[in-house]
Amino acid sequence: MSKDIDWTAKIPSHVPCSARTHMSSADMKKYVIFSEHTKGTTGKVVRIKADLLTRFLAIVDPQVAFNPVAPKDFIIRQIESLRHAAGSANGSINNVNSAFRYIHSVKGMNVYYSILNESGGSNSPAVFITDVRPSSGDRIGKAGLYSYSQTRNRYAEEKESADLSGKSVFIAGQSEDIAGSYEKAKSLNLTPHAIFYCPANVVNELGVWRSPGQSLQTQDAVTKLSQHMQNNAKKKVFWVAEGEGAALAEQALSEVRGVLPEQKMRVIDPVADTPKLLQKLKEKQMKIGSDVSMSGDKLGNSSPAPVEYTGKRRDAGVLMKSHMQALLQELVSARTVLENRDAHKAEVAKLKSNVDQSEGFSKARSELTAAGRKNLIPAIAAITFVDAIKRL
Amino acid sequence: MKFSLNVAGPDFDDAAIVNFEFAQAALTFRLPKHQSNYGLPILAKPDLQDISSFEGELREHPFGYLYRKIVQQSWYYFDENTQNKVVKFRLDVEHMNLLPEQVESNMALRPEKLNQWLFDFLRVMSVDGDESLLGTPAERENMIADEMPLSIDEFEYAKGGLLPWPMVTFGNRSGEEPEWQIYIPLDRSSLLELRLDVGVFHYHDQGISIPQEQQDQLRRDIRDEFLSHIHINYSPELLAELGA
Repeated sequence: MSKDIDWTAKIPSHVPCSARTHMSSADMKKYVIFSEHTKGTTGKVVRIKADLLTRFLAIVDPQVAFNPVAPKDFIIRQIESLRHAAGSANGSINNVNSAFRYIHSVKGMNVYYSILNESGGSNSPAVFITDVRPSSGDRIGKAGLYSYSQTRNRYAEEKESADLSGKSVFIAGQSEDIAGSYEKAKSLNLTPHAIFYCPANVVNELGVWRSPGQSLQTQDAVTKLSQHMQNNAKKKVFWVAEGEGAALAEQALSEVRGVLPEQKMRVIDPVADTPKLLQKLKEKQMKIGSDVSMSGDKLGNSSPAPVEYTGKRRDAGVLMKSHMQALLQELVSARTVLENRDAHKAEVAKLKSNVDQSEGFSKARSELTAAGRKNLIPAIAAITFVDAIKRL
Repeated sequence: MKFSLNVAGPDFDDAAIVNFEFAQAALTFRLPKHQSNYGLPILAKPDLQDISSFEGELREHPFGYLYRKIVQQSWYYFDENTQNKVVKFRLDVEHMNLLPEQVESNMALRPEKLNQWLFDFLRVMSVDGDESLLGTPAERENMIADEMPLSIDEFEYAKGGLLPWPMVTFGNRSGEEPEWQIYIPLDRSSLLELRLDVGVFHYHDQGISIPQEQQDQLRRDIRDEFLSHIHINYSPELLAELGA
């Protein structure tokens, strides 16, 4: 396949200035050694930004990544192999705008890295992993509101002026096409009137994956959703945001002018900055809940929690643990705008019982931060990124 | 089979042979394994001679005729180098029972009439069944917007011969992800509608994009491989009626 790279749309986040050849000592502190095997004994030292821990765990299932029986899935090894990286020679894609930035695609993930000289002792070139993002193909390139036409027997995009009064819309997360989004809704016992579909490359730039170099296509998706919200501002619309769809909703709400007191939203398995989404919903005076009967729409369980974790999405679970305290705080303070308080109470109690697990996250994060500070003193043994994952 | 761009899909010689028996026709084709994460496959039992005994959902189309889905299945084609999914093939097969006046006119077994019916069907579809809009500018505007064929001359044929299989393409003009619908006459009162959605995956984040021309060729090659395995045998009575 030919490689036609539009780098204007894909500037990896956390990347040092393209003209630099050195990683400054201040920036070095943000990085930790990737694993035991990338300390520079053979090949280059491979370092990764310490704060990528949550992202990494959301994309990569440690159970699979450390399984040597499935070498194809052995992502850790593939990343370790970057120690032999000489840029584009090993299958990575070169950024034409900067000789120091590359993408290496492993199964389900893109690893963004630079090769820069280290500060401090060695001054030798090292691999700095600046970002990781999920990667998956999608079939339909156009984000938008789609509904099923019985006459045409197919999904068709709704006009910008679509009247959503009394209707339900499923804001879909990751799926490979519109039919896939609809199937996902069905698997959650939902039969929404319409689907807001988002192609994978847009989904992969949203929410927790958000980066300064967000593409025009992603911006277009955000704007489209916010316009549908805005155009139906005074109408009763019921939104169900799933997975990355919650991140899209959060960004779309930022672009809505005024308030949306007639609209409601239910959130399932959010792969998003959920505390921020809850704040936005409160700001826009939207109801967070589900006790509604929509004309002709079956919305599954009549009393689910306003924010629900089904256990079907590992990444949603990882993010939930990583922002547990903030999430609980927002959920508790949101109770005045909740539709279904009993289910909400039960969900909050369930989350509280998970607090212990989230403490492991905080501990691992602070250990990695400490390890970063020790970077410039090679003699001091510090925890590696992979060690931190293993301890979780 | 291996296609251009290092793309390989299921081995059709190894794929299950599916057989459906209708009142006056027997259809066989090859069906690769269902691979999609979403949606369960559907495969009706082979004996479809009597629509009233059908166990699945018999639905009424807004235009009046009854239909039932007898196959729904998806499978993938991969890039042999990267193991990325390159194409998703989604197949839907519906058995349509024609309305009494359509049976009366024997349109299913008269190619010219079938083409005319199909084109009229598209026209009514373009106005969402509101026949008062037929012949108004709205009809043509909608057909253009929905990228439907604008005349019978734009039909293609998946198979020629005594009873050709008209094939209409939706979304042909923009060149983006067109979908094919193929109509196979079974007898006086029923047709099969095959919907072939052969979609190419995009990997913008990996900097991969396939030029449109190559995508189109790949999709057509994949479609044709599937079509080459469909065979139909009509009953001697039906063949006699057709004067074969």
